[in-house]
Amino acid sequence: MASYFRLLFVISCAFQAACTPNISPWERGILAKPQMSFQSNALESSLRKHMQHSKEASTGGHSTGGGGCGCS
Amino acid sequence: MVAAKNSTLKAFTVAALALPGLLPTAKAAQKTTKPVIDFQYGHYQESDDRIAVDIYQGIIALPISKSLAIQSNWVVDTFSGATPVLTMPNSVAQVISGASGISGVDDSKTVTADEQAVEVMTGASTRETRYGIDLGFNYTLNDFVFSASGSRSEEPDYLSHGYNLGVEWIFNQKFNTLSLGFGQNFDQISPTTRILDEEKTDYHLQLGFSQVVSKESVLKLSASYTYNDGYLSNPYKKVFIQDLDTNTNLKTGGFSNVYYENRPDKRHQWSASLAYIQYISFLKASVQFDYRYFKDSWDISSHTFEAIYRQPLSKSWELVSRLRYYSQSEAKFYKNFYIQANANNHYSSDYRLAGFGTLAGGIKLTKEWGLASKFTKSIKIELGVEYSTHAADLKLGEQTTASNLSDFNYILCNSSINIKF
Repeated sequence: MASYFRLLFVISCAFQAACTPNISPWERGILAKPQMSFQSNALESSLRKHMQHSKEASTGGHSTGGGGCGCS
Repeated sequence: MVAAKNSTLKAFTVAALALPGLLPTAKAAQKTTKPVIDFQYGHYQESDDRIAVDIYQGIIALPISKSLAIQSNWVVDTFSGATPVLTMPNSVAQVISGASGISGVDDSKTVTADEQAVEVMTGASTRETRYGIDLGFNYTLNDFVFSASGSRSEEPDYLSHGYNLGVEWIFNQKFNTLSLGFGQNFDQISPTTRILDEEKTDYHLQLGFSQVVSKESVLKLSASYTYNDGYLSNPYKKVFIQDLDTNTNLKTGGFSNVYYENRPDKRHQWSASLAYIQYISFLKASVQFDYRYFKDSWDISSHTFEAIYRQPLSKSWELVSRLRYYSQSEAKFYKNFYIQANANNHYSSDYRLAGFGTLAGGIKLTKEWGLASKFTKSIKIELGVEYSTHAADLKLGEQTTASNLSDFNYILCNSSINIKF
């Protein structure tokens, strides 16, 4: 058990080191810009996804959805 | 075994919490602190007088307290136009000149697999309207955002109820988010032209992880799994099958050798996606790249590539352009028509299960007015248009069933307004 714990601790440290970029709080201005957001307009994004879903056989991606048969 | 798993999880949690920076220090971002209203009109039009859809949508988000917000989405779709109902061998289709359907099938001829196929369309269909609504809330607790919503969607031939539950964890000084979502849909299908009452249940599972890579780039990874169980056929689509045993349980489709399609009643779908945004300092713009891989238990696999370029033109104007490419392989039971019965009794000639590719390009213009009036904080208006071409030849790799029957183009326009109070 102790070896498990040690291994997980090492993995956690490695993960945090890998996932923590060297950015100070005052350097986050660009990240807060609207252009840096993955979804700028929820309605437009849902409209496009709905149309793609009704013409293509694939689902999934960066958000889930449902409803409607897209029979036509 | 369960106990071992639990203690491993606990060990991981303890190890994670022991590290500086992982303890919750700041409130979760992107909270709704003021009411927001969105409204959108969209128009979808296919070439050759095929389907046209008018879509009206809205969102109302209302903060109840510092940590609780409720949100409601609604949609009204109205569609009209002709849609393909059957593909069949050209040599046996008896067509009345000028009519879009067929008047009969010549069953005296024997059809071969390499024959030219023809697509049979419905006449201009009556208008049909779908009404959809969902209501949900999100609750912020330290670095966690919990969400839940319920939905209902109703058409003359389709009724769907569903729910979604989600949790998002913002951690590591907000450099990371981890999200998990689960939902179900319960659908009832009762086509207007047939005596049929069927049901279907969907289960969705979604996992997401985002990472701030540098002060000018972010990355997002997502994976999803969907399981469909029940009636998965399209109740209006038909297939041409030659020499089908009369004892089959397929429903006849009005003409000799024509039957209603029959798909498997279970489907597993998996997808993995990657999105990356890079800021371009000297242009003050950003570029986003998306890729999605999809696979299902019907042997359909697909690749989706998308690039989005966002260019602010001034303090309040923004131009967004996008390019998307999609390619899918066909379902294992798909054929334009069947010259003999399939051993598993599964048949579909629906063009959505065929192998094809889609290439799309679009632009969008946005104008925002800050502090627009005494009551509103900002008003944003958006106009967008996207053109897509759907063709068998655009598919990646070799085509298994030659089918350029369903090549068509479509355009999607949208205009939306977003009001923040």
